[in-house]
Amino acid sequence: MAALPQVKYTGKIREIKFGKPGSEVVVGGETAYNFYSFEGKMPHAPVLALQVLDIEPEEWAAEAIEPFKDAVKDPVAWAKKCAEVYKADAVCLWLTGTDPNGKNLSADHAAEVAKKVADAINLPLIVWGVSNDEKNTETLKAICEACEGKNLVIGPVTEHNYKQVGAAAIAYKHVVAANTPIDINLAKQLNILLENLGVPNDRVLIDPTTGGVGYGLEYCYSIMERIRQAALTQNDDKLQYPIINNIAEEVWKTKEAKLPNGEDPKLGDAAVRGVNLEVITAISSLQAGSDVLILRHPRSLEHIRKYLGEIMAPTDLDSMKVDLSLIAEAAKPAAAAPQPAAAPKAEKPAPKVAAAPKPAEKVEAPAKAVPPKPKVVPMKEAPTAATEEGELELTEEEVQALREMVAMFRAVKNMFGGLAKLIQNPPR
Amino acid sequence: MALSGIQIFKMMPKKNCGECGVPTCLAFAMNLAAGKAELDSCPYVSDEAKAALASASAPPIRTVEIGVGEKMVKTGGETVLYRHDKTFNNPTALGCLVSTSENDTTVDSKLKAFKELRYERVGLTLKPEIIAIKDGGDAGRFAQLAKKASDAGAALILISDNADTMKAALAEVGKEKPLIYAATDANADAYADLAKEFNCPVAVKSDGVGNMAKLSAKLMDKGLKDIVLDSGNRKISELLRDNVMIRRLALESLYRPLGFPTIVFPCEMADNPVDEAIVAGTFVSKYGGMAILSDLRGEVLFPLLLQRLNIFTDPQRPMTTEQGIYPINNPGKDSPVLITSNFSLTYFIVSGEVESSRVPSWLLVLNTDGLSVLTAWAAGKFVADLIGPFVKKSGIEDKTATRTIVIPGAAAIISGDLEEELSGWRVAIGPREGAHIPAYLRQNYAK
Repeated sequence: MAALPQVKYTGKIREIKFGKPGSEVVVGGETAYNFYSFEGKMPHAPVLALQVLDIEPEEWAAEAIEPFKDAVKDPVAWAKKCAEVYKADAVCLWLTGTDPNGKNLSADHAAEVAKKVADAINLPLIVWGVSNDEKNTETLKAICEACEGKNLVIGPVTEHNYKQVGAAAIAYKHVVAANTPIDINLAKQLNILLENLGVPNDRVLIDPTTGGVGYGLEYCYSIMERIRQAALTQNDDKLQYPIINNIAEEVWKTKEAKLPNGEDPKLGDAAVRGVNLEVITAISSLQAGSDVLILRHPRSLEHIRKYLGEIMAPTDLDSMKVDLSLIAEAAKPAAAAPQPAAAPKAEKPAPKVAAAPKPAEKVEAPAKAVPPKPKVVPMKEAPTAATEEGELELTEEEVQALREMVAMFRAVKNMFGGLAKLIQNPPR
Repeated sequence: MALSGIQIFKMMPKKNCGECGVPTCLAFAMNLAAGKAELDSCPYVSDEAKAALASASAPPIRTVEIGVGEKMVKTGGETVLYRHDKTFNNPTALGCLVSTSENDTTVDSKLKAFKELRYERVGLTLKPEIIAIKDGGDAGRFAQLAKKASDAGAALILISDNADTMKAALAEVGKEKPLIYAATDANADAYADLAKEFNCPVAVKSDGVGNMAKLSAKLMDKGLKDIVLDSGNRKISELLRDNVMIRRLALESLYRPLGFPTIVFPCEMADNPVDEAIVAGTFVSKYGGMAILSDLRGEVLFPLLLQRLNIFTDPQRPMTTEQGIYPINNPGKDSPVLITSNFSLTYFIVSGEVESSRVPSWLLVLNTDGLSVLTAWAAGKFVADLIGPFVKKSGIEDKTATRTIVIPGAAAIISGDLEEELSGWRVAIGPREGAHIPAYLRQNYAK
């Protein structure tokens, strides 16, 4: 008798705790895809953080300013409002004022603001830099030191500054948000680099780079799904970290989120449109595996929190009362067929991940970095294949298909190797 | 689908007569397995083989068509659980509920919104497809509204428990191929007959997936092929489970009675537009074939249409923007000229940043086959000897007196070659990151 098709989970997401003493939250711990309560656990609701800026926001949608209009000049007052009035789970301080292309405020100033905010609220604090690795190195290091003991999340930490920022995070005990540009292999590689540096494995979050809806959401969505597949179904422990998505800026910087009422009647009421763009991006990220969301609008937070309460309600499979005898007779002999068809599918992310650590080998972790390759490997040394084929009872076609797969795998591997090189040494 | 070419070949007559259009039975079997041939083209295949093959070679989830002609919308036909495994095929059809108990003003405003809410993006028109007419006890009005909605260009869903009301409406709009909603335990025979008589798709609704599957099997036995599934659950956690398990059972177990698209009703699961959009969005990503909202408002619909566009984009084929000149912020004779690749994401980011800089600018988009700047450069598609002729032929020289072209920082290496290629032009190297464009433009070009 056939059984209901279930995913065979072999891994678990690590539980990561952050926040100063007395305010800690825990994220992660999933043993199944997000919200699949019928086949595994999601012990902690995703954490919903509200964003606070170190300077008065410029060019924000009126709708996004409105809830904080009495507080936007003062990060401390703003953060308190997030905590006390809007009941956020956490606060994310975005240091946009440090941007060298903008106000270029100093690292010391940033550290001072971060310290004040961390002291003022009894909530976990996430501190977010700008899109400039060099400047972030300086500010995030200063913040790590100034906020010792606050157990912050600091990000984005990239392959260009992980050593300096990672070392500061180790020394002053903070959690790092490891940022990579929408690429599962690079995400894995950075996690390996951080582990090798000595960042404890209960102090890492994956920031896969977030795309707003209509602005690359699909890339982010699929990379997150693949990260979770590798972590949960292939037990890839280098990807078993919770995921953080900085939704706020990605959504609210788009022209559709900023457009005031009246300019394009088809886009409807601005008061709801921005929030809707934000919640739709948020629920897509949640479906794909997110554990921490950074949001801008308190109403988005409210709607997402309500949603989490409903979608995390426990479910089971028995109550569906599916009669498996209805699986068509004609389909049954073919039931063997999905096996070969399904197997490569399940393993598909693996060869790519295996290809990934190529660059990582340089960082002295080849043994750890290369996960055991799937059974395609013996096929590569082909001279004795004939005998093996006999034992495996493979047909001519299947052997040919496997050969083609191996060739594909090599091609993909070479391509990724090339790309990784290109990314590491971009043309100037 | 389920059978390999070899498995199919074993059931073939092996005459190699060639009457099917390919020389051998093996080749024909391979085509069948790949979905490139129809079994009917073989005149000699045995009846047993036909029965076995027809069932095994049918797609695991049927594509159901609702509506006809330009109004037609396809749903179902999915072959994977994760979009990165291949692609999702038929975007979740979105629509709005209209009830006979609503007054004419409300109905008209919904139909007007249905017609007006269309958005052009990456060369596609994003729009809702469906109007669901709900019977509030007035058979005459039910048929009348169905006609009206169909005239407005919508594919229809007819929602009524009353077979007579349904029949009267089908007499009016049956040739428009509406979805009959819904066959239940109480009326399955009558609704199956209606679906057959008018040749329309029919939804099954029950309490839970198990009973729904039985109902669906019953309709299949009656010879109906186009079925849509509603497990009846309106709790989002359970409905998510139902949609996941229906998709898995259909694809992995070839559970035929579940091999159809599903329909969800966010309009019955939330009490405000944002929560409704959240429910709909959940099933855009998780396997909903159709989602019915209570109203159509731009601020709710637009984000959902974007999400749907994203989730149903083929991951193997990058979205592209048309090559050409894009004026941003009303540029004039002295406005700066920038160039980027035609990967749609690159275009959206760059154009968005240029727009937010408020500096009037000309943005040139070069056809790079959907590759981003750095990848296109590496592939030889964003290089001087392609950019040069493109700029010259684009007509930009007539639009602006500016003779400085700003290239992306990631492609800085081509600047020398490009100056040679583009006589009369100076090449400036812009920022590497889109986020730095506004500062760059303001610093160099703001007045």
